[in-house]
Amino acid sequence: MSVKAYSLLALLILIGQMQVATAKHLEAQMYVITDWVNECSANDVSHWDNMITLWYNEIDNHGWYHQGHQFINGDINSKLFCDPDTNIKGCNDAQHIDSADVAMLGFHGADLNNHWQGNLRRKNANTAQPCKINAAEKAGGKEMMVGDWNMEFLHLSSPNSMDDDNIPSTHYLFSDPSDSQGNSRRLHQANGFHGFMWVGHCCDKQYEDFANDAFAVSIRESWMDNMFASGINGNSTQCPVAYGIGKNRKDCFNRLDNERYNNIFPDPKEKNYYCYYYYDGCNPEGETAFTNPNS
Amino acid sequence: MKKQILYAFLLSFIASLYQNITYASPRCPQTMKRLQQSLPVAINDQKYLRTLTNPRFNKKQLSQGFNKRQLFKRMGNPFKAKLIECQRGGFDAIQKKSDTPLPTEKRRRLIGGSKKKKDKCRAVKPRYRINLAQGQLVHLNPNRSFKFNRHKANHLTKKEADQITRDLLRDIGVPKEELANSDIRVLVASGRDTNNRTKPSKRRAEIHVHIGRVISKVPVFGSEAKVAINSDALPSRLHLSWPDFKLVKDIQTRRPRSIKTVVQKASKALAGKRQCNKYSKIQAVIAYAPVYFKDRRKRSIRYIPSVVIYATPPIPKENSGQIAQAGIQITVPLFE
Repeated sequence: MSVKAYSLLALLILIGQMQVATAKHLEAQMYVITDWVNECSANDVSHWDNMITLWYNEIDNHGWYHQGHQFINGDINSKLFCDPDTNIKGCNDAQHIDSADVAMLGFHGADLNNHWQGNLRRKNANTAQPCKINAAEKAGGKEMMVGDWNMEFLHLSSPNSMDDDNIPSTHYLFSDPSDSQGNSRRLHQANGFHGFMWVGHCCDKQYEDFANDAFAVSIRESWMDNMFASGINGNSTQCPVAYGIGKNRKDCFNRLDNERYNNIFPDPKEKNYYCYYYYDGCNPEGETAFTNPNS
Repeated sequence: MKKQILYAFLLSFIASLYQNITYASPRCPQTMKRLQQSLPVAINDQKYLRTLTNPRFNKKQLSQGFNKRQLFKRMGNPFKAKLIECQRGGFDAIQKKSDTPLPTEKRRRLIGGSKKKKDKCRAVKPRYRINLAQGQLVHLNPNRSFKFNRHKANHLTKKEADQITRDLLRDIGVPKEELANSDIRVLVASGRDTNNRTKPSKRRAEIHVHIGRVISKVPVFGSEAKVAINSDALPSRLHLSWPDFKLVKDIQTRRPRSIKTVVQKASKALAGKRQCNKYSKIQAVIAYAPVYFKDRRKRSIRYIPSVVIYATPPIPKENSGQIAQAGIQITVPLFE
């Protein structure tokens, strides 16, 4: 073989290695509880893991994301989700949820004051509410602040995860004031539900199609389009909300309207504006009809 | 030693038997009572149940009536991509360069369309996921959806959006007598600065029309059409789950389930593992539900008359921090 042929072969091998290195370079994680225990009791919901696993498998099919961690039941407690800058002992989100690029959580929820709470399976004795994880409601104010380490997209398959009255303070979930200022790392988008959401065969396709479509249209569109449901006779109305942040209005909507799973913008350098999409007057169980807090 | 091992085996066998017995025996009487009260009276009517096994419906289902030409005409042709994504003034650019039918002058006035300048446009093909064996038809076009920074507010009325959707579905081959009532929603984009110093923004983005399916007036669970209509009165996205209607093959020979069996099966699914799940209400509807096969992607869908049950957990007080639990939906076939 000539020198030229050897060089060509070497180049091809190099390109091949580069492709292997970049394929599936992003990490997806899922956390879901189907079987609550006496320690932190709630209704058992046996099908939830099937739904979220459909999302988890589908996101892995497109050559961008690999499956990082699949937490189903087990020792799901607040240490996996709380930020160490809250000074709560044991908090280590950078090793867990904030180490992912995208994650979906499937927990029962709650609406406390102006933020979402997730109900967990095991207690964390170091917190005032040991069975719960609280999303931040003010700057550095609560346990859960993500994006300051790695995460870009957070999907909350949880009741009351994006209630209308919590919209003005949801952006505190997107950064950790002590780290994000310095490293400019922030969450890009969070998706959740106003009021109750539903678990069952009704919703399998919603989760699978959400992951599939979000490689072709924006994550926001895919979430809003796939997750809205009204069931037969409106019996299981689901009201999705998609929420993002940006430097200003233009930047915020540009991100929310254009970011796909395979079209990821740099982290928002500043968080001066929040923007969101919702269905006007959507009226689920567990809440009153969606009223825009900024109308 | 041998005796001890034998005893251990015997004890574990009895324990497992006991566990099975406790699971099979009626648990959570409150849930069972609620369930019984929620079930439609017709479940007791054997004659009615038999009519469900022989419904009248249009034999020309979507897979036979599907009109791909109309679909591409209405939503864009993936093989003849035109310049449809524009930075500003997209409306007129679309008119000049796409193969998409456009609103009339009258409609443009009605919905407030502009005749402004053309801007930079680039070619992007619309994408489709079509699997007629499963009744799936998904249209994905990143360029025709709402972008807050580029598009004007949507002033279409719900009635107009409904008509556009029904026309589209009819044109592409969905049997019109299977279309149920519409659920029409306005998708709104809104935002504000984090310090609440400036005026908030709000814009009607798209009208989303959701149409369920009926066969002989009986709902078909999981079958629906979702269409988004943009401010140019065009369908900008289509999500269709409309499998050809086929009942399970041996439905005529299957025995209807007694109400007791239905309640038992449903309460087992709703009860909870260790303690009884709590619900504030349970609602149930008779519908045709798909039979879930393990290899669902490979097989065509078959339906069976079923009862679809929605169990709503207790409603928490606003801002109270009381647990807000996910609603549970299950289906129980009405035939063995």
